[in-house]
Amino acid sequence: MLSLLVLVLPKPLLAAPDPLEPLRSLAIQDGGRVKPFDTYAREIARRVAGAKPFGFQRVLGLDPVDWVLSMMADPDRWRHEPGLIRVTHVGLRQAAHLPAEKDRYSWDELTRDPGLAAAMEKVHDKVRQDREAKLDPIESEVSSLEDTLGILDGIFTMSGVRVVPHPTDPRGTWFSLHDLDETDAAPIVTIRTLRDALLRFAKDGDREHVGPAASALAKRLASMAPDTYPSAAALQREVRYNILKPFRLAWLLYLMGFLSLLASLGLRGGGTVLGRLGIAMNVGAFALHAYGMAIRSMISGHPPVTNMYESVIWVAWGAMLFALIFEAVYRVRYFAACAGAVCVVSLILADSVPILNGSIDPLVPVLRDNMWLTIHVLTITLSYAAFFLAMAIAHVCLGLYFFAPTRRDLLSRMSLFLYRCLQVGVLLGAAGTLLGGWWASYSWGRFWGWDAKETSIFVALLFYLAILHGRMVGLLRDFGTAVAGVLGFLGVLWAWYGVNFVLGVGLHSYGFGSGGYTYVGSFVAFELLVVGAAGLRHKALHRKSPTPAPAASLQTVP
Amino acid sequence: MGPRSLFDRLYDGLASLRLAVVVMCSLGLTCLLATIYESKNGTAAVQREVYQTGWFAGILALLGVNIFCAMMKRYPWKPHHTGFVMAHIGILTLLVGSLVSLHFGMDGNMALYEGETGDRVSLLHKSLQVTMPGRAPGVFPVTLEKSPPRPGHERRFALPGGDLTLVAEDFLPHVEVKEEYAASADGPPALHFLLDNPFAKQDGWLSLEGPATSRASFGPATVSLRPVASEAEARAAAPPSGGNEVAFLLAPSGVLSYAIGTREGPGPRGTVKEGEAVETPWMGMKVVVQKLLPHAEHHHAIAPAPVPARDERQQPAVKVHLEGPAGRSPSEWVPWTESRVLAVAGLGPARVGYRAPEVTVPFKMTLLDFNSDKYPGSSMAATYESWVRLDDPERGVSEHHISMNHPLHYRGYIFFQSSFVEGEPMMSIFSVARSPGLPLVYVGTTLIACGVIWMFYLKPYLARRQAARALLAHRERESRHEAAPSRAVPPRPGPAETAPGGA
Repeated sequence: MLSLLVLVLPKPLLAAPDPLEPLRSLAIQDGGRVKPFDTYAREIARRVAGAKPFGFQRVLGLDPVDWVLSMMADPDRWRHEPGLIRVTHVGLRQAAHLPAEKDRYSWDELTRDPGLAAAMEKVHDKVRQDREAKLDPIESEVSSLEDTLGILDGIFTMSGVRVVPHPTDPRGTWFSLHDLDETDAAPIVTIRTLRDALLRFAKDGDREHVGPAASALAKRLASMAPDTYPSAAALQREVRYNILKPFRLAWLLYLMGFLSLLASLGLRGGGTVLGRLGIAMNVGAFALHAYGMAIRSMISGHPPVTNMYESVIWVAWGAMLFALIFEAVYRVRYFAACAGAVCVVSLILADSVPILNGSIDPLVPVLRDNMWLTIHVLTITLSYAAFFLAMAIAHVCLGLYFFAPTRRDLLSRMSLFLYRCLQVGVLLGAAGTLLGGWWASYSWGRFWGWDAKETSIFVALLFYLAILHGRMVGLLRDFGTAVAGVLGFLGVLWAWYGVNFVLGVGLHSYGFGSGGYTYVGSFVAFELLVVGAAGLRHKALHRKSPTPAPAASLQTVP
Repeated sequence: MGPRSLFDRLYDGLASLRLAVVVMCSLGLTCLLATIYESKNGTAAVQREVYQTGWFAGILALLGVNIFCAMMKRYPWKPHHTGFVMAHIGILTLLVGSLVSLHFGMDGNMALYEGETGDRVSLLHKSLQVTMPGRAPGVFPVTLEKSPPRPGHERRFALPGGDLTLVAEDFLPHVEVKEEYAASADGPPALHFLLDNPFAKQDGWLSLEGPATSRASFGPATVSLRPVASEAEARAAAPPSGGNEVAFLLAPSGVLSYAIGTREGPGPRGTVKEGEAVETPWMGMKVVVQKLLPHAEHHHAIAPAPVPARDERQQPAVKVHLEGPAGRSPSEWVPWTESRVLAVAGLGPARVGYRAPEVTVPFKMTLLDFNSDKYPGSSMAATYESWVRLDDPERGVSEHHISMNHPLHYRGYIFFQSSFVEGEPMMSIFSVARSPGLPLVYVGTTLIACGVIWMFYLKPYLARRQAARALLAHRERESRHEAAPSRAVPPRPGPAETAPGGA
């Protein structure tokens, strides 16, 4: 386990000081905000070379910052560099008639490809005819590849590297390193000289001098607009966040916590030491997880729930929060173990799945209200967290039918725990939806308008309410509740992912995206299989020995 | 079976939890299918076909009746019903509040150019409108998409006064409207041109009918037509200034000249004949003179077109005529948002419009300024904001700022910054709503939240405390009567598993 930790620990924690450090925290204006050069380079690397699992983002063996610098210093080499750009989408490769035997191409190859040019032209035509036209998946891939080629061109010519702050207008567009060639004012000439020195050192591979040159350049740039230039502390904080990757450390710790909790629950003697260790590791991971979200919020200036990546991370945290609260009351380790599984799965997904993009982007106007964003979105997503935890517990319940059908006592306890999670979920879901209505009535002038997103969470809530009510009249017993706990989460998944990524309609359009259909589709299919199999198993068990009256089972709770 | 027991059985059924589960499941399923329908057909379609129908209201009403009966069944309420009653009264209040807003409220849009003043809000549904000088206008809300009129199945609308009837005889779900000119005996000259550039082709008409029809702007350039007294004047005319423009100059002899002005200064000039092209200095763009009519008459051409999947992109049209005591008017197609003039025998001209009904707000709003701010260094919008002045005969003049998430609440109306149209001047679009049921909705939602918290957490807590007290009292009793045989401890009531109100 320790060796695993060493493998994944961020290098800078172990290695010598980084010569590129001054360049990493150089401010650059890109994508509507000012960010450190390190973040910029990582985002471009992800774009160009494809998302690498677990953030091992390197391009042809180079660190992203090193790579971007090298492209600015020696553009001719990189324009022809074979295999620089990864085109993963098979449909796109076919539509553009790209050479089929490979998925990596050079910049030159792609910009000269007639098939790709024709495909781009087709997309332009479509957009020209109707500015709001919805692009199909291949068209949006074409459009995105075109943007990628444009961004690379902006680096080769340095016209996209906007690191020179606007001297007077705090909201103005920054100037690029290329723009420096256009004037001969004294301060500009100095900066130009420093730029040329940096590029010369980079081209010559003189890493010793790259750092000092970048440092001098950064100082000069900052002095051009001392009032608007971001503080060194803010820039370094984001670089630290990039390097430390708190969420990866958190899932490693969660994984270890989960394994030891599992072992402790499996041991006959109770495994107290392992159990305590597991809880402690979960608490530690939880703190690290919270720290990561706090840093992220400080960088972005808004609560960490504005895109799919952030919401996955937040929901996992919420599940652990509820689990730890329940642990404080019941002290059974099942909550922590289930939430640990939720966290490990969610954070690994966030860390490795391409559609979960961790870049920090500016918000669309309607979301720029931190109070409502915090109140409504945090509440509603916390209900997802409770339902997620409930689903994990429901799996344990269903598992019991397969692996320990005689443990009726355990089953009824787990069933109560499941019920507790559903209560939290229903309360927060209802509150969050109603708060959303308040926000809408304040901002959109109506409380409820059957918008796709609000309708979907309403459907999921109705389903859970039907479970709670059905349980009261005995329509649902322990088994039915467990099945409903799993199926209900599919409803939540629909509201969470489906509306934004599959339907793509309605007023919550700021969260729309595409992709991930295979992941989610196979997950849904798997869950349906689990439920189906459990149903058969339950029927078989039931035939052998009818279950006792359900009402009594809950009374055995300690 | 007596009538009393039949009533009881109906009441039991309406108050039952089983009905609640069934209603919740069918409501959920309906909504799920509705969202999928919405993604295929658009928001307007799903509103029309599902959410605003009688049967959907019926499901919600059944839910309301079910909740009401379930509550009344348990009357008189006991302390342990508190949470249950709160939550369910909350749901009823919410439903009633929504109903109040639906019936007494309004929902619409108001679009203003910078500097423009207005007090009219267009509502979100469609209507047929007839206006005639000296008569009260007739406004008929219609949803023609749902039951379209067909020849043989006309829809008739009697106007106030009783002697005039509007007849909708046919309907097309989507049309293309072409503004066209045809040669006529008299009338002003008209010119049909084609903008031909490597990226797109676009045609249009210019006519000397009025200032609005003699210019056409296409983003990169403007095309215009104006009369000159002679060919010599055409040669001497100053080229257009103030932007990229191709100006056609028509002399009485019928000779067409052109003069091009660019942002940088005067461009090429010369004469051109029908069928010839004028080369412009802008990215290989050509302007082809397709037709030049010395005398022309304007008319609309309506052609059915393939229906776009999304409701919002459709432009329906309705074919109408008017019937009066002395006969009927000719039929005319009226496309959505437009109007046509029909002459009725003996009654004179009437204007028939197919557009959103409008309501007037009791004050005037002037858009002083509109601003759309971008995130620095990008084309991503960061804010949209409008500054408006209100002239209210009751409350006087006031100025307000409206932006995303900061709507203007004024005399029961809510003005929300919903959209804008880029241009010079800019146009700002506000959503305007009035929801008199909102206070009820707020009360209802608060009750629901408090009720659920009470049911889930407060009630079990109170029950535990009561049980603990009972236990204590029991022990005390036991210690007092030591001789008495000890009895079992009273069972601890389970927390939430006792159904709220299920007793």
